[in-house]
Amino acid sequence: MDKTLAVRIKDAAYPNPFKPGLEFNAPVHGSWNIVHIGMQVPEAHQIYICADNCMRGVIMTAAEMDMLDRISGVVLEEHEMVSEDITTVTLEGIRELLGKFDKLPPAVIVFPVCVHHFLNCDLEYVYSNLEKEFPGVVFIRAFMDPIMQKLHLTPEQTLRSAMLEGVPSSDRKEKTVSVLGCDMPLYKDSEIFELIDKAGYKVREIFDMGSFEEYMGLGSSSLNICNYPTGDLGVKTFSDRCSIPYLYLPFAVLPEEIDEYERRLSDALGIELPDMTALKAELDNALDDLRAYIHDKPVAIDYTAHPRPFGLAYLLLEHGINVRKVYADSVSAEEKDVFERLKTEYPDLLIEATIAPGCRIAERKDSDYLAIGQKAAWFCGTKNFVNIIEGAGLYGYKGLIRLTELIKIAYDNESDTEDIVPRKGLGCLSSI
Amino acid sequence: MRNTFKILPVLTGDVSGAASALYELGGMTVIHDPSGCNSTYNTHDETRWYNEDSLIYISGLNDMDAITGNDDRFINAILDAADSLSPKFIALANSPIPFLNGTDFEGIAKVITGRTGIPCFYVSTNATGDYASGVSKAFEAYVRQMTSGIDKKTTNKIGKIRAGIIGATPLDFANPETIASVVSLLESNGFEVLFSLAMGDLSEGAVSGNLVSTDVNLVISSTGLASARYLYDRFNIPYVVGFPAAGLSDILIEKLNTAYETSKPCIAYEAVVRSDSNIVIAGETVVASSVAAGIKEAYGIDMRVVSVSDCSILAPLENDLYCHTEDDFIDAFKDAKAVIADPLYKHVCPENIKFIELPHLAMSGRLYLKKIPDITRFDPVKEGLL
Repeated sequence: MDKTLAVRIKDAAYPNPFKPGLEFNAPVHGSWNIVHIGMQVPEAHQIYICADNCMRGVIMTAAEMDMLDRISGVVLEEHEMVSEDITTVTLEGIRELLGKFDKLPPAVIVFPVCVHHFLNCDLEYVYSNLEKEFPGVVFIRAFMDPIMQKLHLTPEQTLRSAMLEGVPSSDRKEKTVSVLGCDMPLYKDSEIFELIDKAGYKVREIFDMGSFEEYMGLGSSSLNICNYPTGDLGVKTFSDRCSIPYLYLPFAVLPEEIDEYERRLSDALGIELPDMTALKAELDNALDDLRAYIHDKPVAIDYTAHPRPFGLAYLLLEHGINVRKVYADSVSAEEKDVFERLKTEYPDLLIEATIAPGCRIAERKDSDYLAIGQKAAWFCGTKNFVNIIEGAGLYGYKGLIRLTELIKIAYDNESDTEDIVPRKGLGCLSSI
Repeated sequence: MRNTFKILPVLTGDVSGAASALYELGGMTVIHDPSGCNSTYNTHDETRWYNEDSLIYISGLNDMDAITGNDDRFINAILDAADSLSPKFIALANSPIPFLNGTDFEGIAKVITGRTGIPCFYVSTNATGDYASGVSKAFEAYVRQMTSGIDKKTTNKIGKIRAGIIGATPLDFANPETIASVVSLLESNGFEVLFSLAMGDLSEGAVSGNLVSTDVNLVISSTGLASARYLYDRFNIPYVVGFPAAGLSDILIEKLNTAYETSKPCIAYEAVVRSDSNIVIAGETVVASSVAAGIKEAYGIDMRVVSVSDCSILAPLENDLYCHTEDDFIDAFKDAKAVIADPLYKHVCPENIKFIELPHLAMSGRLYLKKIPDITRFDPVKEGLL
């Protein structure tokens, strides 16, 4: 076994099982990027200020979403980066762009980039001038600065925070629970909707916002929930600022953790947590059925499919399902405990890299596998895969029961992997 | 005025161009970049990424290494990868932050060559150029590297005129039938094609010996001009600039024979004199100029060429234009009666003009991939479109 590409979990280091190095990018693009995420702000226009090569990816993302009318760019030329004042270039560029609009958008998400850090752009000056010159426009202060992401915040975290920074607090709270900071709508049959409904609250998700005006009303919620790791910081900060109670309720997959999060939700809603015994049994039965259904079919899970790939592997293994591989380049802090349990209880489970240089030429001949996630499908070379990202909103016991159904469907049906996985932003329009 | 794009995408950038140029040549291309360059490139601008392996990576540069000038991580990562993957060469491409902090790529290339024994060279991109600039630089750097130890051209002992095709990437010729058609045309006219730099069945032929064994080179896009010039200056291999568009192929073949006989380079599409026109064709300089020349030759219809690729590599002809900014394109199309261009340019064309689609991967990426024709067969007049 090439240890730069695969390692048995018993031998794997936490949190990085593989030595860092050059990075490969698989032709699998279902995960959302900052363009997809930014489009969640209704009517907002995105402006990127960057060099040609960097601009290309974000504009083409929007082009494939058929949303070129919601994105623009100020292209930084070499002479501007080398010989001019980046603050002036940035301000003038945005000003000129907005001058081309017949009708200004209500909000502009501004994306400076890595070079703005290095050239010491005075963004406060830029924003204060823009706000004076375009008083009807809310300027959302994002960043596309991947050079910071290894040691600081990722652009995705920054954006998810920035998207809520402009939303005002409201003294008038509605009996509403807002689900924010994620990309996939919650599974509507999840028991958490029943809990919220039972407590007399309405649920609104970021995807439900039909207009910028409605979006700006998010400060009136009585409770905010985030279930996705990169949204936690932004939603928490927003909640604190608006004095809205906040819960981070990640996509737990192990019963004890699901119970804990649903108990926290019940407490926040002021109701008693219903007895979950029957739901737990239902999940156990679903998993046992799944094992019987797919027999010894080998299974691979990847980190893009679910924020808890190791937890999901553990859950399936505990029910006798033949999970052989988890595709992940690192282990999140949220999964440290289950990672240790897997080391002890399932020591031969393989962790496979997705960005190591050798991944480019690794044979993709595990077509007999059932994959959970697009990356696992591509690396295995299988057509039987569950086409989901970010947990697909499958929250709680009922979400996991639904996942067992999706796995059965994937077992029974082949998909056109080559057509599906290169498409960007699963769930968004893809014009290719 | 700043260079603002309200609705149009920018063309594929120089970094992606460099990666595309070197894709089929058996090397390893490393983009010194934090993230995104590889994803942008392989998602939108690389048709081969899903099924055809090529060693193209980013370094994953972080802010502290950039600030402190720590090149060791970059070098060591390349050494590790080279050790396990044994590429034929290593190409280093630059991006904005290493460009701004003055990273010494030439020096790093020397270190890597010294420690691996694998030829390593620098492609001086910085993410501000367009794809043509990046492809051109990569081809030239590759050719210089591969011919560095060779003193003179190999003598022809076969009898047939040996030709090389230079300037081929999917960014300009996404339909692989195009390059196959160019090869077929040359072969059917008595040429032996030694290589295609660098896509298609003959890309593997672009090795040291063959690069100096051709009697004449055909430069089918502006991206190949710098390397063809280098081979001419150093090895006296003449070249002809032109693409065998419908109506132009006979002239092109004639020019190739003449170049072989006289050892003088030329631009084939200059032979067809065009007048100014309100029929506009926009695209890469050589392709668009060749299509326009072919249509003039075949049907007597004049066109104005709007060149979209870096004009510092190859300038458009008199009466033609180079467009760089969105405002340039708006101006170029405003009085047109008909426009032949990538479909995305419709966004900046007046309504009610005749628009004939000629998708260009370097503009619209994979949006219209299935509609990209074999350009040797593109004939809008014959198809009744014009």
